[in-house]
Amino acid sequence: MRVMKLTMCHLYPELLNLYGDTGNVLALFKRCQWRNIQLDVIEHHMGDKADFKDVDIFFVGAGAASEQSMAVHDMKNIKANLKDAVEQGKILLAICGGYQLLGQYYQAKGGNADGLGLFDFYTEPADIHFVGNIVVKTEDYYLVGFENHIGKTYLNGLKPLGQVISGFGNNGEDKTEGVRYKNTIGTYLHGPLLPKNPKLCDEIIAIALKNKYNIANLEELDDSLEIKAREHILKSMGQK
Amino acid sequence: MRRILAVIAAKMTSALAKLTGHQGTNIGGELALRLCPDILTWFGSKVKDKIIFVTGTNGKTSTNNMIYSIIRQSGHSCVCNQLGANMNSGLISAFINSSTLGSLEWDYACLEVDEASLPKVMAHIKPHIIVFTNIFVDQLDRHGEMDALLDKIKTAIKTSEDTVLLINADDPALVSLGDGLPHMKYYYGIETETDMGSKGLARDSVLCKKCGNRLHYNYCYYGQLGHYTCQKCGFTRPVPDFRAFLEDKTGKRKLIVWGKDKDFIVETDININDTYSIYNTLAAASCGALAGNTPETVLNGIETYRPQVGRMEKFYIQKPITLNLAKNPIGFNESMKVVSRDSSLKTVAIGINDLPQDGRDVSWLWDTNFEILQEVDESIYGYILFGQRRYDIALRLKYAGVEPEKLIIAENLEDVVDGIVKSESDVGYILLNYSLLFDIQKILKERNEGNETYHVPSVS
Repeated sequence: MRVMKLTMCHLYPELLNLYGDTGNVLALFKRCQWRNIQLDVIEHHMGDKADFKDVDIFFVGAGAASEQSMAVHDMKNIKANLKDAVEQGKILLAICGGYQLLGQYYQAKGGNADGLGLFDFYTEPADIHFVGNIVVKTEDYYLVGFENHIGKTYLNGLKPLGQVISGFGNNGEDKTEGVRYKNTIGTYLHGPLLPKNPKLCDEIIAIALKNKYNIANLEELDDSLEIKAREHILKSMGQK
Repeated sequence: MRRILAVIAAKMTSALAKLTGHQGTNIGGELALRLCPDILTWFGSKVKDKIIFVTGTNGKTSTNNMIYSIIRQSGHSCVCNQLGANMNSGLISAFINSSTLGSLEWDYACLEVDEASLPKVMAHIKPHIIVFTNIFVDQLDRHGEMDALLDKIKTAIKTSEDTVLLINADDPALVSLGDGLPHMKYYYGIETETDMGSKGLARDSVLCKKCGNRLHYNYCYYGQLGHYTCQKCGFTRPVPDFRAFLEDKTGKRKLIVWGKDKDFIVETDININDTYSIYNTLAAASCGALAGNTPETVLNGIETYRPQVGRMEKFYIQKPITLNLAKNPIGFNESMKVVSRDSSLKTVAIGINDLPQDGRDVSWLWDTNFEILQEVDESIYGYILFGQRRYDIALRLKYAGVEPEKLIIAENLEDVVDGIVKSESDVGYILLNYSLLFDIQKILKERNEGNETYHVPSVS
């Protein structure tokens, strides 16, 4: 049997690497490895030329305000490439600050800063700090995580990733959390997101395999520890 | 009179809390603060000679206690928050605990201050010297992001223009913080390259705070600490006023601290086995010198220093058990390196809580290099995971490559200690964060079979 191989591109890990988001990369890597799928992780740094033809999954993590604006500045050079990838249905996973910067603008020190403008959503400054554990319901499953942001994101007609069950989500007002457009997923969920939400992690792997090899089914893994960890969090939040 | 009454009431509350078995490090301080809101300002005015603050991410408690030990050697009276309760109420408790009704005056105060609480504390009390250990991304949900934290610290220090700053020259974040302040500054740093340097563990690259370029490192001790320079704007490590050299001739490392022009030399061969301790000792020796002590006093202070609760604290319950506090990725990485150097068959217990004093966000576990333990997997008999976030840490270890069969979840602290004692391993290690420390230490002390607990040099 041939070894299936996927490629993931970690965008600006030198700038956007707060809050354990490399755990998302590790979760994708391990859950591929446990199924004998090879996941190559490449990094795209400031100043690098776009070389994305083999990339199946793009990942953008969170960063501090100054580093966010440096990333946006450089990202303008690869905006067209990312746009193509998104429209083709490739996966783009963006967390917190990385999610904000894909929109029109986002809150920053001393006013709003221009975002990449890849999507129409936008982020306004909030007067309170949205911080704490969060539970979100998507069509198929619950997501658990930890949010920590001072921006209020408004989707401007786009579809959310899910509905907030407990916590703040995009703006603390409309009960939406994150964004979902084709296979782009933007979210405020840290935790990190993927190790605690193996179904979402597997959905990403399944989409990548479908895109590349047209294979629909994914081998089941023993997730008993993941399930217990999720139950424990939900219980401590009074959700179960 | 109101202040005196507040002190008496607080002392009684603390004593009561201790009698009933509660760890009362803050209770008295909180009460006194309620009875008399300006009590910290008043206590500050009762310190005759110098007030010294130690702040930063890691190494505060050890460094502060070592400075305290030096001041005690010089024969002065001194207040110190030895147990590391380092916000306003903790500082007040420290003053209350060393108050007697006959004497409410001290020569010195050595106070460890939480870096994010520095503005609140400095609104009440202005230090003569602030010692900075290092600044790492720590407990982000409480502090906000690093830049915001540095701004807050800067604003706080600007309120006290006569304060002298003692800064770790090897930490670019601290040095750029100092560059933005007009205060009198002194620097300390390690000059010798060692074989203990570790690269790219906490953050894979460090950016120049001035121009955003990636910093170039000639040598990196750990995290962002090292000999750096910015090839774009010229920002570079300052030449330290207090320089540490390491000698490794006899297998026992020797730390030599020089003042500028070699006018001050301290040479000590206490068994220093990790970079953490070297920085703590260097910072304390430099502060001791700045405060006007002789090299003899500084040396005596360092050598009589004993680390505090849970800093590589050793117990014996059918087997040696070592307890170590670690609060963030850098701290955990350094403690796991110590564990991994021990080739005996080990049980490793790891405890994580997410109370406010621990940091409510535990995603830092994924910035921590638990693969250090996985690399010595054959010498680890099993893991015991405990605390409110026991499943998070179990999951992290699974993704580090540890077999899930080796991961045991303990529901309470007695089970943790029993699990270590009854396992077939030869030794046990307990690594944990702050709010779990005192309760498990109490159990270990009660069951300890050695005559007294003993310490090896501190890691946190």
